[in-house]
Amino acid sequence: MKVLVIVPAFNEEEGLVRVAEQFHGINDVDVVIINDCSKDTTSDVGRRLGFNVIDLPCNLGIGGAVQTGYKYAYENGYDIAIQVDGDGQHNPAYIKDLILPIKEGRADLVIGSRYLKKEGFQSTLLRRIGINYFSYLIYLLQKKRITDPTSGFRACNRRVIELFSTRYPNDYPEPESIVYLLRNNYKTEEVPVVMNERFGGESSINSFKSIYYMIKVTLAIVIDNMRKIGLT
Amino acid sequence: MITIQLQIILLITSIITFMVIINLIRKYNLELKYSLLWLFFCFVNVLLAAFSNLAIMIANLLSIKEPVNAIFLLSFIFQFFLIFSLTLTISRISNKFTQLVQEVGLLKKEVEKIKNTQSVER
Repeated sequence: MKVLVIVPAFNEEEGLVRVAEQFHGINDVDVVIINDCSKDTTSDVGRRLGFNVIDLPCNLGIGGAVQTGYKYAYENGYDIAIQVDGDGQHNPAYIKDLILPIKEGRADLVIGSRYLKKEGFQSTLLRRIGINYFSYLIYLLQKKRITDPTSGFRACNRRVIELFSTRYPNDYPEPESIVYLLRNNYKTEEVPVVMNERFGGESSINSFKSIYYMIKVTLAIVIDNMRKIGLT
Repeated sequence: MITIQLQIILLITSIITFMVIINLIRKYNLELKYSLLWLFFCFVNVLLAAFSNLAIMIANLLSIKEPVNAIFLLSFIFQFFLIFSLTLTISRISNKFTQLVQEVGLLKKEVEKIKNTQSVER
């Protein structure tokens, strides 16, 4: 099975070094860095570390960057695509756990969750409240318990790669894309992972944006839930 | 004073606008990001229509005699914000568009170069 790791990176020159260290010794996957028009040397650093780098000519935001990766995976015939953040938060050692349910045909999308075993970096209290809220909202609408809906550490199969390369939410895409898949009767599963605190760079969500984030994602989830089954 | 007719008209139009916008997003015709401001103003309009005290309060605050005029003023400010956000978005898009076209131009040149060297090799 051809496996592609998609690493969206925006100003992550320090994070990428960390990611490269973590990928040391993992040889059965291809890695592609999507450089979302970084203002620092992300592109050069990525190339020097021996990664495949796609440079976007203008900044698209996380959704557009990740979707570029899915398009690349689709066009190059990959069977499985895995999203890994460019800041070293996600340990690639868990990739085989993420892939397993897909290989066994049990799931279309596998989410790496911090909250199944509650080990490692658990994020700040306010964020946990927000994440719990989205988890509850998704359960309310789709009757499916997702403990870590904002996790950017996810794997998906060819069917989902195809779907995501035609449509993927723009900003703050993770929770919305889960509802999008559940609405269309795709199977999701969570596996426990341990996440690190981020190394270098900035999170895409700061305190000023958090209220906007909550409102926007809530609306996105509720509206997506109103869409018809099969509308992609 | 705000007449009950005005209240009803305001309420109905904002609710219809709200529903139309949600429906357009639902059909993937509108991008949620750019509709948020509209939805917010619809929401404020509904509040203004439902609670006439609110308009009277704002009118008093700004020393405007008629609450209706306060509503007009607010609508004017709303329009200003909406148009300004459009200008902002257009500016961003035009910047990105320039970058994109330049990138395509450069790529075309690159491809041409590769093609030329290939034909020379043959």
